[in-house]
Amino acid sequence: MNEPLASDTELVRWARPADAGGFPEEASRVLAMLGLALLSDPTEESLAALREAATPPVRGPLGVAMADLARAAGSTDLLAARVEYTRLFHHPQGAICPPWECVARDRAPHLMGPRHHDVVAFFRRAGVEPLRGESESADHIGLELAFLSLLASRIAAGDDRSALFAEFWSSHVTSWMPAIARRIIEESRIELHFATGRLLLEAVTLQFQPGVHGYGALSTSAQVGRSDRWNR
Amino acid sequence: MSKKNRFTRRSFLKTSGVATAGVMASSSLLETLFSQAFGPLYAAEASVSRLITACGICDSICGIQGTVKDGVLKFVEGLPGDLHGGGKLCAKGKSASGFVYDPDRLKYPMKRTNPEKGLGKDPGWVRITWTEALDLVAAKLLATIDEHGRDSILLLSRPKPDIWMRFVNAIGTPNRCDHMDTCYQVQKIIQGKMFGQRMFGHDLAQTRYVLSFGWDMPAKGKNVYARTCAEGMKAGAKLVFFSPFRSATASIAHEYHTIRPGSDLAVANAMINVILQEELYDAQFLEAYTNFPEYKDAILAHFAQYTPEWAAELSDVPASDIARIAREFATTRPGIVPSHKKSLGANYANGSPMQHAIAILNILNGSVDRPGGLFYQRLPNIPSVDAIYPPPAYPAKEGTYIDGKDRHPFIKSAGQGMWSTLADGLTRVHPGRIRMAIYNMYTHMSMPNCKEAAAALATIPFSVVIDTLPNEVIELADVVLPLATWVEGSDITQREYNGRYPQAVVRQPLVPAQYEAKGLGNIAIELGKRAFPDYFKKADGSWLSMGEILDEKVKRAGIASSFSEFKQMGIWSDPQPFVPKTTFPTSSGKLQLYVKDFADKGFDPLPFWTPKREEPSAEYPLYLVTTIPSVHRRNSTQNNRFLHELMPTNTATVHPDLAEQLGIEAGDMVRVRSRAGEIALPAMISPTIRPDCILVPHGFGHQSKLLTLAYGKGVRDGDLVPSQTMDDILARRDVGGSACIMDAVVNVEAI
Repeated sequence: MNEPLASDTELVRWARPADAGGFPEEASRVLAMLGLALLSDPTEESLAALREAATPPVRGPLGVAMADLARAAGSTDLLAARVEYTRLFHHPQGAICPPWECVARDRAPHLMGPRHHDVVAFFRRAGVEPLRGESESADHIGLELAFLSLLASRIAAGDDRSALFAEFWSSHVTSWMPAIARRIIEESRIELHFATGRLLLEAVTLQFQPGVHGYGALSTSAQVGRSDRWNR
Repeated sequence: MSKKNRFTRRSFLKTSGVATAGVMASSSLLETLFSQAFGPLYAAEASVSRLITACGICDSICGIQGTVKDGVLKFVEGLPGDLHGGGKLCAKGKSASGFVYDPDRLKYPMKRTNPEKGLGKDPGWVRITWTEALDLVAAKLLATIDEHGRDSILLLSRPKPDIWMRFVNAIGTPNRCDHMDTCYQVQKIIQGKMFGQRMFGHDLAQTRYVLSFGWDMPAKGKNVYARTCAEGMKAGAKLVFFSPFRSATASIAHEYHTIRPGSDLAVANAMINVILQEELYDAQFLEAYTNFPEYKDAILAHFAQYTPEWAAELSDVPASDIARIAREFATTRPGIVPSHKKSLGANYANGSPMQHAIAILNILNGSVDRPGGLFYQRLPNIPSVDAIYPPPAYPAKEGTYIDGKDRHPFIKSAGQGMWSTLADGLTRVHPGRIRMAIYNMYTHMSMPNCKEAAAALATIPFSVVIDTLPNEVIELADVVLPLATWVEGSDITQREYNGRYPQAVVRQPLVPAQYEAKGLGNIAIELGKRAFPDYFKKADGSWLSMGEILDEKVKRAGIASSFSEFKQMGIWSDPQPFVPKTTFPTSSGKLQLYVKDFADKGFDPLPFWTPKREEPSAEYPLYLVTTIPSVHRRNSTQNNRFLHELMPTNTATVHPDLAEQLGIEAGDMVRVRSRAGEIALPAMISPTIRPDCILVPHGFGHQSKLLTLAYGKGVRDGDLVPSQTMDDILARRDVGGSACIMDAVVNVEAI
């Protein structure tokens, strides 16, 4: 399995509006889709949003993974999906797929550590904050992906945040999301979360191909096949 | 939050450009996501704040100053200038952020989806809303009461806060149990009769002699005791310490005696005898303030049998030392024999007479409620919620007492509960009687014979767990309610340990409750509204609220005009001069050496020598000794990352002579067996323990796989401690019902 190659140079180009040609909107959509799938346990509303999110279709392996997730969102049993989300990400099996960067990357399990503060600093540079109180901490995978989605949507709207996007990506994505994506794929017992893990792995191991724009033209280093694991 | 900084989802979408043409397809998705993810921009508010609160680790209630930056608790420190904690905190208090930001914390209400329960079985948790959880628990509670009666509900919970007790009282079950028979129940019963109340006040700073039987507070990080003891010693007080193992208290003591476990009562009774025979007591004090004159002959006759020579045989303390220390103590006034909660009282079957003897020694010294002695804590007059908002009459607590305390007049009236007899009640005496359990921050980890206790609790068909962490009992739970930590809570605390004059300390959230955790008061109100609405309404028909309750309490206590004002103040005190009592809150107004109430109900009115429950035998030749390490609080702190780092696991301390005899090297795994069970753990070779003892620190051996740090680290001393029945307690005429948490004998072998 190749490790992600997302160097700063590639990512800067990847998210640069002049070169991207519509890519940032698709990036925003796939990152939002992942953020939604990972931030909290499924609801009828979030599953409906995931079903819609694969339209219009995106070409290539990423598009396939998006479509798989959308299809899984349409066919999953809500209670089973909530139980599985709890098992994977809430406390009971939290040690299997810890969704916080500071827990996943640091040996000492402690929320609100230095990595959290670093993520908050990025958020502030973009002028946003995670919800206080009942919200997850800023280094939760769902919030980090939501933040990237936000940046991509701003880029699509003409606000060049590509440098910030690239910096955040190299600081806070490549170092831990591929590993947790593989863990989700390995541990998930239902299709919804398997598809989420697969899409995450596709997204965070993207390699930029010069001169070709859009997700559909991007190759991936993640060769993750479908599996019947969720039927076990 | 100023309006200028208000950052709505709508404005977010606008500024993010999501709602612009060409990206409409994703806008609903993003809107859904961002409504969950991002909120007001509060960067402009980002700053460092320092808040005062009261430590919630133990009843010392040290003042804390917490530093919060950008909404995150960075660290805590002792409150400068706080006369109680001396501006210092113990390791447990300093580790506050480790409780708040523990990734294993219970974060959301959950319910089980797998009906098959049992150890190792996945409950199939699913997150639910608070409304769903509260509705579910209230409905189940009412249905269980309807079908099986109020006494079919078991609450494993402390009796506080008072709004929680309103909920408990509205249930009307006699079955609220707590850990007090492993803690201060014996002290409460004995001191309640002799002094009229439990005595937590120790004027160690002004004393001249500290005679300690297993009172080990300087080694436990109990700040106020450690600090004042050090002050007293610096001013010339002598510290004499009796214990089977050489703790930090032993290291600072002027004299340390390695006493045989469970024989402290013999030494104390012999000392009383010396003091009485040689008339070294404070005769004026005894004459004026005690029932000694009334029972003098009976008292003298009783203690005459306990000679120093007799006690020396039992305790391994030389008779000459016993007599000398008795004389020193009696004539060095003021002196104090401290007794903190469980110290000796809960350890052995003779804990009750030991507490009685300790109380007599204090009285003989004439130091009770005098500078340098035990004193009655002067507390603020904070009204209870029932005094402020009188409830309808509570249902009578009738029916089955699952722990059997109704058979014991003093334990029943103490109103606590029995860990040590609970398993017997659930499985043998009243099997199937309890249909629903509500756990509030308790597990079987603190119960004698925890394995047996766990099996007994597993027989209860429906369980609700309210906790901050996924502790052992979570595998039995049907519904889980996430509890806020003390760092996130609001309360008015009062200081008993150092209550020379009334002092109250605010407990306020240093940070908001994380995720969806709630305080117990709010949970009580929300459950109460659903199950027993009449008890949770004010006279005008509106609902009670925690905010109003706290406001009313501080107002009526004269502390502040509102709880908000108290939060700004932090600490309130009313430094009245200390006026020693001349009448005491007992039935006669005098201190009771001879307790007629005990005799009237078939118990001993004076401390008779009683051996501990278990003595070494050929099969089990060694004493088990346990201790709570200074860096942990029982079994509740092992998953805290800071405290885990300080002490992640436990070892068996073995004396070098015994190690040599058994062929044990440092670090070898040893098996320790008792008649209750066995454990295996590494050996630590040290002369700090007697050669006939094995020391196993308490609190380790968590078996919940959901506790990332604590799971599987160390072993449970409780697996070696036999449980007991109420018949056992009555048969030995134990007036306080000691849980005997250290009363076991063991054998040891290298594995």
